[in-house]
Amino acid sequence: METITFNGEHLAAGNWGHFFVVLSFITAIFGAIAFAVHVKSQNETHRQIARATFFIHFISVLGIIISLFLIIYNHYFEYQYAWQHSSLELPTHYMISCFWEGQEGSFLLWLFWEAVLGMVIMLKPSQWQSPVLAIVLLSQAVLSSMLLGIEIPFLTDYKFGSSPFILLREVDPSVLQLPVLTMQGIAKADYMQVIVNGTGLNPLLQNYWMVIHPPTLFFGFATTIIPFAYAVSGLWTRKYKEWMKPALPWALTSVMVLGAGIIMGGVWAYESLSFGGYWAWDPVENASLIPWVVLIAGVHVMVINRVTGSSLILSYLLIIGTFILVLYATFLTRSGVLGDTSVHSFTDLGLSQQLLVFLLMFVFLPVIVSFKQTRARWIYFGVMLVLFVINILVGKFIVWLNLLFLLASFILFIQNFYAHLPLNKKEESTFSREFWMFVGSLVLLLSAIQVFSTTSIPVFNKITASLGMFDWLYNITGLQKFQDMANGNVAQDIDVIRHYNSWQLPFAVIIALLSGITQFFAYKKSSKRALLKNFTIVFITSIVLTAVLMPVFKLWFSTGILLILFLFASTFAIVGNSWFIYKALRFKWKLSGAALAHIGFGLMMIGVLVSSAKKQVISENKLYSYGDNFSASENRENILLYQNQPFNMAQYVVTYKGDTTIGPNTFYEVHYYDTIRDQEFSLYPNAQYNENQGLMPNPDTRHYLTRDIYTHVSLVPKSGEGEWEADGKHTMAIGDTMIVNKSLVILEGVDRTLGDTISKQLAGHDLHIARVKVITGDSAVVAKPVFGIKDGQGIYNIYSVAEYAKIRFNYMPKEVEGELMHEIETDIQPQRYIVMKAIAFPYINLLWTGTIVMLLGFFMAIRRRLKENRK
Amino acid sequence: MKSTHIVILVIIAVGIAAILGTYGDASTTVSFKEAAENPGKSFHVKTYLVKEKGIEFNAEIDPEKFIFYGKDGNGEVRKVICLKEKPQGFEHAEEIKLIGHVNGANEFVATDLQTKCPSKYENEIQDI
Repeated sequence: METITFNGEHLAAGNWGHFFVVLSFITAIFGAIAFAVHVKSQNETHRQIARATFFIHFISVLGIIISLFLIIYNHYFEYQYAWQHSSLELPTHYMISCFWEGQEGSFLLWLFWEAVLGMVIMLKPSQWQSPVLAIVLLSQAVLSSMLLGIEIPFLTDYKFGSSPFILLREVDPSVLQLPVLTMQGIAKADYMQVIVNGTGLNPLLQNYWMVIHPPTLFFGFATTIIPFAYAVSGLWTRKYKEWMKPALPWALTSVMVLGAGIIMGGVWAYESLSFGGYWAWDPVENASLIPWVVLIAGVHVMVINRVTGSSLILSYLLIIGTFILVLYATFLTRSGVLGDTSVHSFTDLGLSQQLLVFLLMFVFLPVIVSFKQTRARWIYFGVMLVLFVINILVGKFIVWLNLLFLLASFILFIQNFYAHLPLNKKEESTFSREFWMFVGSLVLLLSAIQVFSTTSIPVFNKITASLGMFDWLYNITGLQKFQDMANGNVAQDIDVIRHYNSWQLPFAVIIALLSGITQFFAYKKSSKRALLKNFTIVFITSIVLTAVLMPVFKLWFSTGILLILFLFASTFAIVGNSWFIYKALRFKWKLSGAALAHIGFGLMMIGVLVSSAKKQVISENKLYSYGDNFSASENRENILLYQNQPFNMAQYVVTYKGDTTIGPNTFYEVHYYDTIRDQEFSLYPNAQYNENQGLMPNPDTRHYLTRDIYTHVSLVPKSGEGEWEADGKHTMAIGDTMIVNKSLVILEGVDRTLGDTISKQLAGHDLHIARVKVITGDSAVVAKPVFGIKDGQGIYNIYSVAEYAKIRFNYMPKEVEGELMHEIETDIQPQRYIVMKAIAFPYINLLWTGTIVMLLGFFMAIRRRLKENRK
Repeated sequence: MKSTHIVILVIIAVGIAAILGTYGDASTTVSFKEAAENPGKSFHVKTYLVKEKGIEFNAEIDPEKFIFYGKDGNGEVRKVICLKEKPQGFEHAEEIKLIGHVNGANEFVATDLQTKCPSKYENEIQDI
């Protein structure tokens, strides 16, 4: 093979980057082992070695980030990552967003946050440091392995990880054979001369929410490993209960950050995507919601355990489950398994098997350490390895075998648990706080299970299709569903939003009711009289408040009994917790975190209820009908607006005024006149046109205190403002008429003398001036295109424009079969229009307010628990 | 029996119901042939745009209706009427997932659709 030295490449940055990836991988593995050894040996030297390794690991993670950033910042487009995700035009503040457009970059972000969290653990000495960091480093090893991009020698065609430092010419050698190189006579070695710009960052990511949402979400994902690591360390070091105390503030932090990340995603969707809302039950959204809900349940159970000592096993399951669900979410969104059920999942980078191994590793890890005997741990580990090797030898995942092992592992885990931690045999009072918190946590878990199950349809399809039993079940029962399962053809409900809402609404009602009342129960045993008194006050106040709110929100019993019940339940949560802060806590804010979070939750729920139940598509189109073959439910949600033609839409008169292009975005000015309030405003929804992905519209929203008017364009004609389009050449006789651009055009005659309108410079020329009358609606103008001959030979044309009709005329006398005819050439400016959609979201501000209150509540709860731990 | 046990049993029952509910409400991904066998019933169909047959659309006549010919996995080509605004990258779509039913005139009426566009990476390397 010939070796070429390529010119114009900057290989140092990539080499350093790659070096740091390998270093971070090695230090993570070595560090994990060193910390694990220290757990057993308690030898100070081992600890020092482990800590030093962690420092090197931390620095190498920073090294990877700096290398990648330099490549993007300096526009080294020879690197595929920079070429694919950035461009010369990209403003510096969006360069950071390039990190999360690609999968490698988002793994890097995760790696970074986890390293930071590890550093926090490391700087605070505790007996948990070594086991926790060993587990964190194990996950760091797996994460950095995703960035390795190394081919394994004996496994052909399998690449371990996907490196962000790979060169464009390595990914696609065809860049060295570009036709432009041969045409311009550029040598292969100088191919960089033509790679001058990258393909740019997806316009949807060029938004300030997209600068802060992914880092927050990944920070949230990263935090879930800490409570997980504590739980596993508890099993590992056989300190089955003590881990919860230090883990609780971490779990609460995780709830807060992950919650903030998820909600920021909703805000981003609402502010800059055009699917018309903040939540669409998209699998990618659900994937991060599921662990969050499970973690909230987990935090409640941990609090129960802290006070009463019960519910230990459930704490383990929920905290361990949260991290596993985060890994599952990663697998779902990055393995390509979601395929076409989600609009914004990543495509498979060839990492799907590696991700599955990652997932299973952390599923089996807690099971390994749940064995009390060291020998039993090794035996289980051995069986696991054998299974792994069998899978590799067969060359694919043997679904039934792995499922069987998974089930057996789960049973063993529970079994082990009962073996060394006998159950609390004491009867629990139903009049205790812990009982109702326990019920509430399980309802949260149910809610998560429901979302999980529908979101996982594509995964279930893969599983059911590979198990032979469903064909057999179909043959016996004749149920079509079994055949669909056997074929892996099951698809989401046609109306998936209705499906989710009908399940989640009852869950939300129960959770809201429980969060309103549970605080009034005391732990262990409550006084029934005090309880009844508080309950009565809260109940009656909530009923009254609900009755007041119903007309405000225009919610009636006819809208749906369940919705009214939901309104009541959310009100109940707010009133109950407010009363609690007043009555029981006497405004001791330090203790009010939980109550405040519950108030925030209640507000959020009312915001969700009103803004979605009373969401109104105000651009409903009544002008068109699909015809008799279509049902009335196939409603229309877009209107066509011609420029400067007012249109009546609900209580508004809307007018499309025109557009301006700034950078890659075109802004469409839509003027609103509110006929009820006698107010006017303009919205500027914009859109960016991308060759492959088409129109990418961003909405613009008018915010009022009690409602939002949300508007986006759905369709715009491609030609720009003021551009002429050829209409045709028309041969006419004097007196002929035609229709051009919706106007009536009459050729009245041809003059040979100058009128006043034509300059005296043309004196002496042979002139033929057509008189063209243009009638548009009730106005008429005369256009006078000129055909002139200068000095008997120089022919020229002067066109004439009918402004209002947007027609441009050119005239040319012509001889057809000996007769003089008149050729009129017309160009037109097609009428500018946009197709747009507008939605009114009432009381959406309650959702945002509730969110902030809830996050504040979490924050105060974290402070409280940290303070308690310090005592 | 402890009250906790009753709660757990109820929860397990509802949990199983939720999983069954997923399948109860679920639809099926089918080919045109199966959709045509059950006219009026809604399905998911995965199709590819038959570019040669063109796309019939005029926003000024109706902004929320367009017609194209789709080819399913079995190679069957059928006229598809989409009751939606036309996604602007539609001509480039690699794969179009339709949700809808076959009507009396044997056409497929899509009430919703999702298009999968080629990633921006693929085309441009030739365009440089």
